[in-house]
Amino acid sequence: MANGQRDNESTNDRLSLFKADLHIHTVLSACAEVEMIPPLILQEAEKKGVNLIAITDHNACHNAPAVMEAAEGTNIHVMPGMEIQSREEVHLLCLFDDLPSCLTWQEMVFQKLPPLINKESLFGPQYVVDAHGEWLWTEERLLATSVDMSLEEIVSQVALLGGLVIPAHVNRSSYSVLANLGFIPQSLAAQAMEVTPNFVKEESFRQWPQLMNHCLIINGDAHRLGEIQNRTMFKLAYPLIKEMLMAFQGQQGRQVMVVWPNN
Amino acid sequence: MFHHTTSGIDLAFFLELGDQERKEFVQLTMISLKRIIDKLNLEALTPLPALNRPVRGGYASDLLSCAMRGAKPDFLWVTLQSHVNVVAVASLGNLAGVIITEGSRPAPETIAQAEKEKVVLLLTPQDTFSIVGQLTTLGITGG
Repeated sequence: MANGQRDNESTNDRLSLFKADLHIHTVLSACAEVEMIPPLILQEAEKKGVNLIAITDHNACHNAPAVMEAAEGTNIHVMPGMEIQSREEVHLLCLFDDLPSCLTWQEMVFQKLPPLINKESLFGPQYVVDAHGEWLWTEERLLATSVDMSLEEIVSQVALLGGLVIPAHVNRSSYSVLANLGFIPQSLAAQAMEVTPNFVKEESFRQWPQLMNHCLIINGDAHRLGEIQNRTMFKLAYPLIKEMLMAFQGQQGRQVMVVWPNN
Repeated sequence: MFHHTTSGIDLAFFLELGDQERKEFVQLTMISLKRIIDKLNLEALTPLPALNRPVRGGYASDLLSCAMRGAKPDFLWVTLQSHVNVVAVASLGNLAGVIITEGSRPAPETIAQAEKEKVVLLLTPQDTFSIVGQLTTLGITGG
């Protein structure tokens, strides 16, 4: 913020701007490109002025620690998380402030994930890497399938662990809450929704008026480096979930700003 | 009484009927929800309507956004989704009922919501393919 600029909010917290992409895949996601390794993800984020990212592989967070480690000493904050696929085949971002709570969630998810084996020739490999992007091991379990938990169960369980759920790419015609469930259920306690970078506001609001009641953010759902986005900006005291929840509601000066396409 | 055969109705005869008579004819000749439940051995999760509701056709999809377009009034909808939104879609579309397949039993709140909305929820351990096949042999067709 500019020097001497006074906030008219009733808070003494010093707020900063965070340019964010909260939906980034790594080589753990079978469908992601091999370039999705920690140093290159951070380099691309840096290039685009992004300083808040979340690592969200399908139903797993094995590569989040590596990206967090690689980001030490940089100005990029990395949130651990995953993109979970619910029983209804709806994709949801589950984000956490710290690794231990994310790992607790990981254990709960693996108990509800069917024990299938990945077929690399069909889906691609699921690599776990270190902070340099060097191969450590390969996850054999099929990750990209539905976890036997309902949408509502996921939202409440993640909240109990202090995490945040953001329904992913809600305007997409597959694996989204709007496509699979027709409309946003009243029972879904999610304040923010992710839309894709090609979201056209007017047209989409006509199609799904419910979206007007939610805070919308754009993430890249990046499976390759070029897809990382820098369209969503948070004004927060700290890059923490409780701050983001305030930003979704516009409380105490916390804000979300999105650069919409074709505006 | 009206004349009809199991293989179809006499069209010329049907065309001679008045509006009210046609309605009664359709009620008599269409397969009822009750008969389908018996034939397919479905578990009714909600009370059935007092009147034996006719079933005018069938639709199958697990995408609710598609069911909102494809399932017409008095249709039976076959899906393995058991989310509470299923109730809303069935209610909005004035569907004859929903057959939830693969034993995907809805949460108690969902069943309560269906009772409130007077939506008929039917459960079966069979999969959608098998159920649709049996509905077809009973003469239920798509939209």
